[in-house]
Amino acid sequence: MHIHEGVLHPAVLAAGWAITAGGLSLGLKRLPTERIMHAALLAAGFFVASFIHFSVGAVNIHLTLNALVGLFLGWGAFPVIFTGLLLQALLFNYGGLTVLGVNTAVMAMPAVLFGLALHRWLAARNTPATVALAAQEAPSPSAPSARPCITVPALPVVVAVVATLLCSNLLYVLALAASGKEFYPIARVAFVASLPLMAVEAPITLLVLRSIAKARPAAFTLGKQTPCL
Amino acid sequence: MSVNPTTAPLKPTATVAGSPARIHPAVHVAGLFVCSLALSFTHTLWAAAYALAVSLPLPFLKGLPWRTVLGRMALGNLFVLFIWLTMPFTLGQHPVATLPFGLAVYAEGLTKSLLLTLKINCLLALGLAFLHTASVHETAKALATLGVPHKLTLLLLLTARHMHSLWASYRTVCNAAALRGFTPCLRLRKLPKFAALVTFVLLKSLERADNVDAAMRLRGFTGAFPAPLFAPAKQHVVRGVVAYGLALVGLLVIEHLAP
Repeated sequence: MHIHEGVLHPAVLAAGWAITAGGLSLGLKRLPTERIMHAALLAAGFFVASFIHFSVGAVNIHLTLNALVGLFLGWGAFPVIFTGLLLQALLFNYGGLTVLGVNTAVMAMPAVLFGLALHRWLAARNTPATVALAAQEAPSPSAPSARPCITVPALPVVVAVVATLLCSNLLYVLALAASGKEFYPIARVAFVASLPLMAVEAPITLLVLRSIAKARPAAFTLGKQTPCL
Repeated sequence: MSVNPTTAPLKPTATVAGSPARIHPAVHVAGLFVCSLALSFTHTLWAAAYALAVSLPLPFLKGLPWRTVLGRMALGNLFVLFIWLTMPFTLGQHPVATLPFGLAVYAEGLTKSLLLTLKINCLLALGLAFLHTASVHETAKALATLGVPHKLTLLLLLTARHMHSLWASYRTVCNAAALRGFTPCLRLRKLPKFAALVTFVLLKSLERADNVDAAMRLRGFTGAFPAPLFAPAKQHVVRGVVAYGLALVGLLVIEHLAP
């Protein structure tokens, strides 16, 4: 979901940069310097995972994993998504520099909003004792089966993923529509074309979360107020 | 060819595609940003055509293979195709032609589609010439020179550094899956396999993060590299400012003089 350079109105570009600057400022502030390495590795992981493509008829769609980024990184999603989009502009010429603000805002705002909501929901449903026990290192190979597992219910995860993608699509459409009436038809087609992604990404995100809950529950950082890697 | 490690990092001229850069990378980043912004204000076909004529040869002059240029431009033009399929039929009130099934083609829609095509292709060519040919390292240094927060440039460098190793791990698993006869397509029963692939990449990145973090801490990493100063040479800045300035003045003059 990239908007190209040369399409949007300057006022929309300015609004995108204003939101992104605020998000980046908050995200970088909440990201301790000594945890940069973890954020970078996660960013690289999400970047690579987003290259997994599906064939849907004649077109290829790829995962965005926005909700996962928001869940694991909270406000850190802003710098991580910004970095990913900048790398895509540098390596593949997708998007561009002036439109980077809008593209980041479109992707990161819903990710932070629904990622944090999902984090709180999971933290409320899993007691601190369960989280602490689940996060403990397994003392022996037989221990993982005996360890309590973090509960990841299907409905909230699916709702969070669908809401994240829906909001991203709506912001994308809004950015195009705010640039001129002539973009209305394109915005409508783009919105409909992105709907299949929700049907694919929601179950995949749920399966990924359940696997991570079993293999590495500490990654959820549920014992903390907000996710901070 | 050996490089003297004591002098190489202090070399003031960045290298782009193997040749010494004559314009500082920070000037390229700032210049591209200003050019993109100026083009978003452009409303005349003449000015957009001028911008495209100036920018189109640049990827070839930078030594990019024509296949790469055409491939990237074609990919970027998918959105342009989208524009041509909708805008000429929906924007305007003065039809210039009628297609079969009563589809009217409007003059305003055609003009706007052409304007957007010229602008998008101009910016694609500029991006290819100056962003695509620069390494991530150079761009990070350019951003640091322009005052972008240190954490963000560090995040960019570290992400780019570890992306390739994670990609290699992912390809290994993909090859193994392909050998077992797994073909990627949208079927419900294949979703768990896709999820397993994504989980593998994420778990690998978490595991690597722990290992690399521990190793870096042991080497005394405190969140910043003792990088050498990247002081831009004056002539590389002046040359870039003059080049971008002349291009922008040309754009402004044509925009105002165009009928």
